Formats: sequence, structure tokens, C-alpha cells
Amino acid sequence: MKRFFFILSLLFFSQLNAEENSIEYKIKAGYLYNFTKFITWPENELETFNLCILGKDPFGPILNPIEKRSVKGKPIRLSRIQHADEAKHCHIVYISSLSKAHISTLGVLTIKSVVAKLTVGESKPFTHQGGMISFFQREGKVKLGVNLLSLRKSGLEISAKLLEVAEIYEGEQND
Amino acid sequence: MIKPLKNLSIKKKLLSVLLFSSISGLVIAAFLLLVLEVSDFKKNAQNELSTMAQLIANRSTAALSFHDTDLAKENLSSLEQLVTVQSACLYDAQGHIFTFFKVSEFQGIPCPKHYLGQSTHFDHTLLHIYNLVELDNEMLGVVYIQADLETPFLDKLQSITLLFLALFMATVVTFLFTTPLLRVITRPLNKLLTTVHRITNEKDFSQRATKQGSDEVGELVDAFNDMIETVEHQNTALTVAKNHYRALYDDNPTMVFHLSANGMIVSVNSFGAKQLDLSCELLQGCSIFDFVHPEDQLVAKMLFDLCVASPHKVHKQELRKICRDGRVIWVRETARIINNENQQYNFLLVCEDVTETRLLAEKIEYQASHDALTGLVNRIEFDGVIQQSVKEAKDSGVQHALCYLDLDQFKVVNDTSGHMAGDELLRQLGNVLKKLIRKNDTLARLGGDEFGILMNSCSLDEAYHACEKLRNVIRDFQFAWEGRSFSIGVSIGISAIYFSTGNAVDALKEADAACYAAKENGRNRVHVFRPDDEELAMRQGEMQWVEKIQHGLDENRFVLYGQLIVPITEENQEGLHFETLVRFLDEQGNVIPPGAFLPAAERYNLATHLDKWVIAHLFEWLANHRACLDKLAVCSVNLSGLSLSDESMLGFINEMFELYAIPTEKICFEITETAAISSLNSATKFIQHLRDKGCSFSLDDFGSGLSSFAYLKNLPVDYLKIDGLFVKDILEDQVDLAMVKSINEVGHVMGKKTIAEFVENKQIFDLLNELGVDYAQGYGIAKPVPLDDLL
Repeated sequence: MKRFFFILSLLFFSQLNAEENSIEYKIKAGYLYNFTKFITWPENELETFNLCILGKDPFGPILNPIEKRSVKGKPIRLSRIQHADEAKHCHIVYISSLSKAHISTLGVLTIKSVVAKLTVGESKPFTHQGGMISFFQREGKVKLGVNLLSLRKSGLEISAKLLEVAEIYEGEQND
Repeated sequence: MIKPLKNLSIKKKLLSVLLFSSISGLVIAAFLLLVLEVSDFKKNAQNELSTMAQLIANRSTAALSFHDTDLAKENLSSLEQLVTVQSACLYDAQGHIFTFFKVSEFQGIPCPKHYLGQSTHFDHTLLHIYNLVELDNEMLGVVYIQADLETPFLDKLQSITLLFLALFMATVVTFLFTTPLLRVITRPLNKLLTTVHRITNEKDFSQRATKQGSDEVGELVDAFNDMIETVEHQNTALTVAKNHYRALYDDNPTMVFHLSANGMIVSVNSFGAKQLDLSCELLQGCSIFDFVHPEDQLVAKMLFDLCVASPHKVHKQELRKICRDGRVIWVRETARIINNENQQYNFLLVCEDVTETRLLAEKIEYQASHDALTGLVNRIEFDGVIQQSVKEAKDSGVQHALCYLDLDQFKVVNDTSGHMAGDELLRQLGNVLKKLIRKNDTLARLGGDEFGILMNSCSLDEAYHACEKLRNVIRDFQFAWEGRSFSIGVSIGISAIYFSTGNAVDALKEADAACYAAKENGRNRVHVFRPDDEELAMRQGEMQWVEKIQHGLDENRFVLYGQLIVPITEENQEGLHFETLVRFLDEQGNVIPPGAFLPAAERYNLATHLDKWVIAHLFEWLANHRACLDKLAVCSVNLSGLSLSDESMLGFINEMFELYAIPTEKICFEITETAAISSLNSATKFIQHLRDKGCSFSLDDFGSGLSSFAYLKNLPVDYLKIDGLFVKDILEDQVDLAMVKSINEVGHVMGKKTIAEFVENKQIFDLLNELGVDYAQGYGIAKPVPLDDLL
């Protein structure tokens, strides 16, 4: 396990060196995977854990190795989608910051979903606008923001430990 | 370790055991306490810190997952509350330090730079805790805590020391309380030991140990008491047995000596010591030979030599012992060899006091060889002395003189003053003669009034002078008896004993003949033997009769005579009644009356032979003269005293009765009063036997012995023959008359018939008739005639 983890890490580093700006996304890719551990996923009939990238994919091939992992025994399947309608079976939907248009589809994402989904987006405002978790940078470090209200609505339970490392946005205004 | 304990007292042993167990218990407890407490302490400390590390690990998953070092540091800072913790670190999945924490006082490096798979461990008082941080089986990092346990560890040690001290105090107190309790065990043992010592010292087996309880010591006391009881019983039994044997040894009426090989007394019994008049203790170490009569020393030594020569035999010896008080005792010694414990030989000597037996034997020997009346040597012994002298004369040629003394007027004394006077005279004369002879000479009483002297180494001349002296002394000797004084004389014959003397009998015969010659020559003189004296003596002397009687019996030189006995009163007329008498017919045809040969026959044991001859020939004659037998009323035969006690006599008489078919009632046996009384028992039996067969008996010479009438009662006789001495003077002597009268009366009262002897004339016969005497016999009636002339 350790060794596997070690090799994986090496793999990330080599890709970070290969591409500019890729270190930040490598960390984010790792964080995406780490979220699966701090969130309690409701049972469903799907055979795979679906990670969807909505809109423009900022990760590129960096994220691909994630398909070799699994969550609760289900292998992770990476799918890149362009419309919110395609996100029916996604457990995690990553919304790139470049695509602001998609922010308005957050409600659609939530309502028309087969499974409870975690929405992850770039920049703090994402959480203010109804997104659940957002990445933002402070003092050169990737930080997390959490909208508790959105999370509660989605039916997902988030570990208190994750909350300890995140900035929490209550989201009262949106109510 | 056990060995030195062996000789300690039980109390000390118990104390040692107690001490040892306490100390070892204490040490083991202390060791266990230390080990357990320390390990417990370590375990607790490790558990506590591990829990903390686990807690921190759990809290740090998110911090590690999302690289939040602030949160991670905050988590580690919570360890500040624990005083032992010096530093703590959190490593990431790559083993690099993610963040760290250390207390302000801690100066060193907080934690290893890399995590390289270490695990939780102690380094002296430092405790290193490593705890993995995992999430969904994925290792996120490692929590490391370093704690210094020195202070709490020292605190722990201190508390352990206190605990140990408390334990030690408790043990000491327990020990002090327990020690006095040891006496429960030791006291009964000591008591038992005291009793054992007391019994051993006092030898008093009646004491018993007291029982304190029923434990093993109690059982030991019981067992000991049982044992002592057995010992006491056995001791008592042994003492009793010892006393019995002691009594058997000490009170045994013989002297028992245990002697060493050289005769030293090792031990002696009480009786033996008492006999010797010394104590047992003083006798020990003395020599047994100190108590042996000097004359018996050789005999005593010989006894021991015999024992050594044949050790398996018991040897006996009689000898004299001298006691301390000078007594001499005769003892019969019995000795044998025994081996003592050192295998050396010793003697066991038993001495039985046989003094009395010995003295009695000596007395009997003396009596056999001495005359009871005078104390002089008797005839038998004198014969022996003569024999000895004859032999000596033959061997060495020494000449001895043999004297034969015959008192002249002795019969006068005897007849006039009685036997008592005669005896006294003989005694006095014996003493007179004893003083006159030399030391080596032998004086003997040969019988009656005859003495003999053997003069040792003496010529006839010397003997003659000595005898003259004797004769003079005896002539001058005045014997006084009841106011009367008697003078007596002596006739002495001397013969020589020299080498040609034939034998003792010849020598005595010659002396006897010389004495006879002295008498013939007029008495009271000394006569030395000459051969013609012998011829003289041969005719008259007593000695000659021995041979003559023997020849007479063989050659039937005796002839039977008879003297009639007639009834005095007319009405008593009966058949023929006579007394059988015996006469000797010598070679010249002279008839010799019995007065000449009967004393010799009596003296030389020929009387019985003569009696048998008379009976046989009388019976034969009677059988051959049947006519006479038919006429015969009673025929009496004389029996000597010797015949009465002769064992063969009764058988002989019975045989004769049968052989000649003589009616027993026709035979009357005459016995003298003296013969009957001298052996009253055998005489009575003899008489009784023949009377039962029908014979009758008459008591001859009754009155002469002057013995008591009382004897008469015990003698079952039919006739009393009144002694002729009384009868012949009956006419003149009133005393004799009275005697005859009284004898007759007493005889009649006792139912016996009386016969008077010596009836010499008609006057006497008439007087007897008056007195009522039944029969008469004597020259006045009829003289003795040959039997054939009776018809």
C-alpha cells in the first residue's frame, strides 16, 4: 500500500515537472481523490464511482491515473462532460473556473441527479453561489472552501476533519 | 549449609528455619515486586502514550491529506499536558517530518529526521512511540512521541522501597511473635530429655515421662514409657534371677572357689569364706595353698596337676584345710579346668566339708581296732601288729618279744563284786600297764582277763626283766571296790619273734603256752617259752581246740549224751524227757567234757558248726530208734548264741526235720539267757519261727545273768531252767532259796514250766517239790549217759 502510494506520488511529480502550472492541478487532483474519503456516500446501484469534469478540462492527462483507484470497492471512472444534463450519474462534478456559465446550472445538477453529487469548483465564489467545495489559493497554498448548506441539501455527510482544514461558508443569503 | 545446623539445639534449628524462610520470602517478594511493578509501570506508560499517539494520529488524517501543518501542529501541541513527553513529530507518507512539537525545556533534536520503519521501544528511561496514521487502509504518515520516564520511574522505585520496608517490618514483627511459640515444640522435648537423663543417672526405672499432648512428641513419650516399663520388668526379672543364682552360689553348703592357674583365689562364695573364717574380699588374691594343711600340700598340688593333665575330667581328692581360727576341716575337693575370657585356663574348685564323715570313719576304725572297755588295741589289731613284727623280723633280723598276760585272781573279783568291778579293774590295770611299757611297744587286751604286749626290738632277757617289773607292779596294785580291797597276780608267758618264727599264730601260741606253763608252775610268775611248754599247752590250752573241733566235726569225734529230766510232782508223769549233751572223744579214748572246748568253739566261730553236727546226729539217732521216739515226750538241744543269728541255721533245721521225719513237738531248743538278750530281735524271730512249727524252747541258766525279768516277757519260751548255782545251795542259802522261789513263781505266772538244774540229792528234790518247781535235772536224778544207754 505504502509502496503503491509512493510510486503514485513519483508519477505525479514527474508530470508536474513536465508541464507548467501543473503542480497546482496535481495537488487539486490529489485533493479530489482525498474528498472521497472524508465524505459519506449514500448507497446506489451504480457499478462505478463517476468523477465528471464539466466544461473545460484544466487537468489534462494529470487526472487520468485516478481511474486506477477505487472508492468503496467501486473503480473510479473519469468522464469529461459539456452539459449539466450529462451529469446524471456523476458522484463528483468538477466545474472549471473558466466556465462561469456552468455555475447557473448548479441547481439543475442538484435536482436532476440520479445520485447525490459533490460539486467542486475553482475560486471562492463558487461556494458562495451554491457550490459545495471550492479550491482557492492563499500564501501559495491550495485551500478549501465549503458551503455547508449546499452539502446538507445534497444529502451528503462531510467529515468534521475535512471541515477542520476548510473555510466554511454557511450560505444563509442563498436561502 | 545443612551440616553446621546438625549439632544445634532444636530451638535454634527451628529459629534458623524460620529466619531462612522469612528472609528468602522477603527477598523473593522484593524481587517479584520490583520486576512486576517496573514492567507494569512500563506497560502503563507505553499504553498511555500509545493511546495519545493513536488519538493524535486519528485527528491528523485530514491535516495530512490536505497538507494543513497548522492543524497538525495544534494537534501535537495537546501533548504539552503530559509532563513526561519531551517532543513529538508527525511524518508524512514519504517519511519526512511534516511538523513537530517539543517542550520548551527540551534542548536536543526533537525527532529522527526520517521515519524509516522504527517501532515503539524503550531506550533506558526514554520511551519512543511510533504510531501509523492511516485512512481507509492507506498510510498517510506516522506520529512519533518521545517521553522521558526517569522522574515517574524514580517515584515508582521509591514507593516500591516503602512497600518493601513495610513488608520487612511485618516479617520482623511476625518473627518476634513466633519465636516464643517455638517453646510449644521444644518444651515437651526438653522435659522428656530431662526425664531420660534422670533415669539414666539414678538408675530408677520406676520413673515415667509426663505426656504434654497427643502429637508426635506425645507418642514418643508413650513409646518411651512403654520401653522403660519393659526395661523395668526385665530389670526386676534380671535382679530376681541374679539373686536366685547369687543365693545358689553363696548359700550353697559347699565351698566354691574360682582359682587362677597358679592357685590364686579369683572369687569365692560366702559359704566358703565363712568356713575359712575370712571375708570374700580378703580371700581374693590369697593362694588356695595357704589354707591347705602342710601335710596335704603335695596332695593338693597333685589335684591341680591331674586337672591340667586331663582337662576334660573332673578330679576328686580328700584333704585337710586349715581355717583362720585354726580349725582343721576335712574336705572332699572336686576340681576341673575352665577357660576364662582370655582363653587362659583357670580352676573351678568345689570343697565339701566331710569332717564329720571322716571323724566317724576314724572312730569306727578306732573302735574296730580297739577294745571298748580299756581303750587298748584289741585282739584283731594285735594280730596285725604281730604279723608286721614277724615280717620285720624275717626281713631285717630284728628280734621282738611277745608277752601273754593272764590275771590270776580276776575271777574272784568278778564273782564277788560283779562284772562292774571286774570291768573297772581291767580299766585301771590297762592304765597301769600303759605307763609301764615303752613308746614303741604295743599293749593289747586279748579278751577276758588276758593281755598281750609286743615289745619292739627286745631280747628275751630284756623282756623277762620288763615282765618281772610288770608282775611286781600288778602284785602291789591294790584294787578297791565298795570298801573291799583286792590283790591280784599275773602269769606272764614270753615268746621270741625272730627270723625263724613261722607266723603270727605260732608266736601267739608259744606265748600262750608259756603263760599256761607259768600258771602250772604256781601262778604269779614269768615264764619264757620252751618247746616242751607247747606240748603242755597243746593238751590243755584253748588254742588247740580250734583244730581239734574242726577235725572232730570231720571225723565225728563228738559223741551225744543225754541227761534225764524228770517231773517233780507225781501227777506230772509223762514220757521220756532228756537234755542232749555233747562230749569229745580224744585219741586216747578219753571223754572230754564240753567246758574244755565250748569256749574255744564260741570264740573261733565254730559253735554253729557244732550245733549243726549235734542236731543232725541227734535227729539221725532218733530216726534210727523209733521205739525211743515213740516213748519220747521232749528232747532238748542246746543252741549257741551265734546260731541264733546265723542265717543258714533255720533252713538247716527245717531240712533236718524233713529229712528224718522228726515230729517237731518232740524237740525243745535250749538257749542261754545271755545269748538271747544280746541279740533280742533275731532271737525272738528265730524262736517264733520254730515255735510256729511246733517246737518248744527253754531258757537255760536263767538267773545267772541277773537280767531283768522284763526280758522274759518278750521271749516266747516254754521252759525256764533255773541256774544250777542257785539250786545246789538251796538248802543252806536263804537268798538262793528265795531266788529259786521267785523265779519259779514268776515263770508260772507267765505260763512257763520250770526246770531246776543241779539237783544233787533227795532233800533238794523234796524242797523243789515244796516250792512247786515242775521238773528236776541233775546228778541226784541221773548222770549224763550216752544216748544208747538211755534206752
